[in-house]
Amino acid sequence: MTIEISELMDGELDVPASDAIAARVSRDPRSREDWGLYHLIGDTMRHAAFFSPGLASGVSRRLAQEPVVLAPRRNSSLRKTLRWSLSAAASLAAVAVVAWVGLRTPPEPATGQVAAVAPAAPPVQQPAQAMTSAVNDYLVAHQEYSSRFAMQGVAPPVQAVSFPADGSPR
Amino acid sequence: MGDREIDQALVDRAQRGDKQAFDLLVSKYQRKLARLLSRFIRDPAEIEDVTQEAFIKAYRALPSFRGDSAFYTWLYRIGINTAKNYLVSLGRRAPTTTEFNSEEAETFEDAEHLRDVNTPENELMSRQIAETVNDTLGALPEELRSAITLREIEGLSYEDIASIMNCPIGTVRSRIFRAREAIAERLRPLLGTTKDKRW
Repeated sequence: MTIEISELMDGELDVPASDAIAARVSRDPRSREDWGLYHLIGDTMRHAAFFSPGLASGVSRRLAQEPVVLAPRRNSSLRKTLRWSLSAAASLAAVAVVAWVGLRTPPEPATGQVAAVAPAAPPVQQPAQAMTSAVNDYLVAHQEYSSRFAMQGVAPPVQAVSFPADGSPR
Repeated sequence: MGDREIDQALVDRAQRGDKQAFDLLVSKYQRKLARLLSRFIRDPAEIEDVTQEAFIKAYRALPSFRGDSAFYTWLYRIGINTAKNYLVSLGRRAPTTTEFNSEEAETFEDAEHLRDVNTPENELMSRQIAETVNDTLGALPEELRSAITLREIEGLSYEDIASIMNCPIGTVRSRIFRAREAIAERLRPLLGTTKDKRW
């Protein structure tokens, strides 16, 4: 038994064995004495001791007067599983929202396509400032009817259209 | 399984109503906690009282200990607060938060200081214990002395010690145990097993 106490205090037993030996040590007065003695040896070797022979027995006497404490049994593995599950569910929900928004949004034409189409557009006759202002006003006024954006107001259409100062489309 | 897990196993038992398991934690940490508190309280009788009080408070608060920190870290905070309240109740200056939280308070090595705060009787006893431990250690075969020194002073695992000493882990386990038993055998008659004295 004493070699197991020695191993227990050095942390060299696995969890089930530690639990079993700790239970046996706590029940057996002789084993408790050995446990205390081995710790005294370690503390003395480390010069870490404040010596007071009455301290531990004083605590024991006072402990005997205390009502037994009972704490709800912790289930750490259950808590860890629950925490992991909630994190995973939150991540999954976030991915689903992003995917849903992405699928509802038609793909924008590639820049190259715009560039190819742009030269074929008819030349704009209106003065540049008036045209820009009119188009912007129109887009802002009608953005809520746009079918491109499932989530209104998230990405205003004005950001997708711009005109150079001379009024010719890009 | 490390020190923290061993303590947690004992805390779990104590939380299920096993007072003796808490007693094992008292045996393990009584000297370390008293030594810490001796930094702030000079009188040996007061150190003993405050240390006892801290352990009782820790026992009462055990249902709230969830294991988020190591048991000793938690006990350390209770000890510090108990000492602080004690000093304030006497109208003495309580050390500042910085003094209490300093790393030095936790790890200082000052045998001279401990001599100052021990009673003459305890000082005599502690000297006898230290001499017995050192004499027995010195008389041990080299392989036993090295094994227990690497474990207790350097804090190495059995695996690391086996690697250094070039022997199987089982041999390390046996050497450390034999060294402890040899020293304990010499200490038992010195300490006695009287009811009011427990080491």
